[in-house]
Amino acid sequence: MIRNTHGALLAAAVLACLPGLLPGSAALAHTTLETKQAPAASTYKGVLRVGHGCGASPTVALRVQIPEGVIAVKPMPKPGWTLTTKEGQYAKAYDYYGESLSKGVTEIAWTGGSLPDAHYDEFVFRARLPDAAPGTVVYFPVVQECETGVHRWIEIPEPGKTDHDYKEPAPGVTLTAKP
Amino acid sequence: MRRLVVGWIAALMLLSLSAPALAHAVLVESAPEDGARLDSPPAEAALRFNEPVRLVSVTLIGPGGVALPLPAPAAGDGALRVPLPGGLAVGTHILSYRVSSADGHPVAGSLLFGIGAEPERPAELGGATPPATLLAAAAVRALHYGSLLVAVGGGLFLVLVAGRWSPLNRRLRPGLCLGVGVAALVALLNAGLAGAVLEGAPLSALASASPWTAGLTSTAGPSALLALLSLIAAALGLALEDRGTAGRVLLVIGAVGAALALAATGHAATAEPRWLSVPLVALHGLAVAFWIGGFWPLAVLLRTEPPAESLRLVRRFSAIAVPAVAVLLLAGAGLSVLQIADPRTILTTAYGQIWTGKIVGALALLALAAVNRWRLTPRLETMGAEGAVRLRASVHTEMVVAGLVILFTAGLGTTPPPRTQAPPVFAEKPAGFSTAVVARGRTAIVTVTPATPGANRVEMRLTGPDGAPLDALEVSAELALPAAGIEGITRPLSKLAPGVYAADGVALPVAGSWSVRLDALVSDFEKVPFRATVPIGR
Repeated sequence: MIRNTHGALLAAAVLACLPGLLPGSAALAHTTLETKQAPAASTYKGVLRVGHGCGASPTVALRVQIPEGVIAVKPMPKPGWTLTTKEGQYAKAYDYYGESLSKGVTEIAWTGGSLPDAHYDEFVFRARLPDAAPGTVVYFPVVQECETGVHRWIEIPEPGKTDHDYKEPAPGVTLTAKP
Repeated sequence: MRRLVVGWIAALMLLSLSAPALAHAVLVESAPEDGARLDSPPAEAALRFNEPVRLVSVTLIGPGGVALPLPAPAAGDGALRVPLPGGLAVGTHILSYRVSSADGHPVAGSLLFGIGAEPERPAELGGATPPATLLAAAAVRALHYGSLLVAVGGGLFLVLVAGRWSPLNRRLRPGLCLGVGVAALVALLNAGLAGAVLEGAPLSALASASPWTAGLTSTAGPSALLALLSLIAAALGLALEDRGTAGRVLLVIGAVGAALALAATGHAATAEPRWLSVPLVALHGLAVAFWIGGFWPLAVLLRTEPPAESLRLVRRFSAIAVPAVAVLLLAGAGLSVLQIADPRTILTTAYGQIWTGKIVGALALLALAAVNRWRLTPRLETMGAEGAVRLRASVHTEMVVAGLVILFTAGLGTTPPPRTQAPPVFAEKPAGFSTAVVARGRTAIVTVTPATPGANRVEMRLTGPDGAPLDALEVSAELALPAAGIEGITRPLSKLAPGVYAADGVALPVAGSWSVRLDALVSDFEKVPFRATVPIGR
């Protein structure tokens, strides 16, 4: 227990200093998707990996925005967290196994839990990826709220830039050819 | 000595005239800003002045010096909106404007902006009024003031001093009629030259209709018209003077009208509050008309009338002149307070220097008047004809000094008074760098001032796709100079107004092309990065 607290303090100290010491090299601690490539128009299991809080502050909410074209979203409930979704109209109707979907989940929120900075956890949803050209990157902007502070993993690279050019890139999945 | 004085006055006037800051209305802000680099062609240019303006001309010069046709702009209430043609080419554009401000003076300037490129400042921009035109305009203005006041003032002398059926009137009438005619011609010429100054045209342009139209449609137009009507009234008054009351009434109407004509244009009459400045100018003008308009009739009567009659008339003139001069001084002092606002500007501005010259002249005139009243007039009684000669010589001196005072007054009319320079003048504002960046359908106008090494202010004006100010949840700036190994300096910007964010005291330690990225968190999940390259210290 004592060791744990020390560890947390150390991690907090290191994390607090890292952005100042090594700008741009904090990639190891981003909130990312576990599977970074998936076929277009496939059903995708999105696993958001949360590796740290905000500084030493524990994570208390994780919100994900579902981009246009990603349909039939089903988040996985998580013990200790309250799961809520926001539904909205899609920009157009999508075909889903012969059914026309024109609205659905646009935002998922896991709230009310507490994930200490020292711990790691995953937040899972399932969705149907868009039927787009291979190489297209589908970004899922994530807002990670902590007891104090917030991380917004929402930066979508401008043309000619990559995730590595940003401090808080949005998690993304690159589409591959349809199977 | 006299040559020295004339040279000094000429130098002073040239100095005040050739100053580029003939800015009476001051350009307060513009969109696009001068020197801005725009990513896309603007739909219109908007200019805001510190006071209402009237449009004289506006031209747009595109890349390569090609003049582009412009639709009719709208001016009003201190704002000028110029709709710009669609499809402007990439490159430097120059929007030149020439407006007349409420006091009838021209304000000209140019806005430079680049579309998709840094605007390149040409070596010299046209638009300055030729000095010959300015000098001629000032000289004619002095002549206008002098001839108008002397002509109608002579009429006042007939009514108030000489009295009906005085044989003196018949002697004065031809000279006064000539004066009225000269004053009318000079009033017209003055309007034409005012137009030439407005248009920035050379003197030769007076041969064409354009400066005359410009002058007559500015505030100089109604003033000239009023002056002409007053002179017609004075002429009729002179013709009818010995036949009854109508002529005398017309002479008074002429004098009052001339004073009102002076109050219809110029700086003095446009100083706020106008309910005070306009009557002050009119009263000042009327009192001056009586005073200096009396000089020539006095000189004539001292030559022609017997000493006893001279003494009676001089005493009568003196009795009215004392309250008239008191009114003149009070009105003049009031106007000076309105115009100069801050006594410290008397020595530091051209206006203040010319004003000082006028005051010195006016004091000399007062001293001469005092000598005339308390020393020379009693001698008229005791010494007779010899006293008349001395008094006449003194009146002649007064005429010369009055001429100088009028020259200074005309100089004041062509020099921007300190009150118009009190707000920060456009040219003095820190240069800074401004650019418009479009990202993800939003537009940010990024301004860095003063864009020199050291502490800078970074400001962003954010608008949405509809052009309306857009509020962001957070805005931060990251400034880097990779060439000098300076990585991102991140600073939050605080909100000043809807869509306006700024950070002060952002240290940019070295000169160079800084990369600036402004991140606007426009919604919970969307951050828009605006990137710009900002030259610091170039």
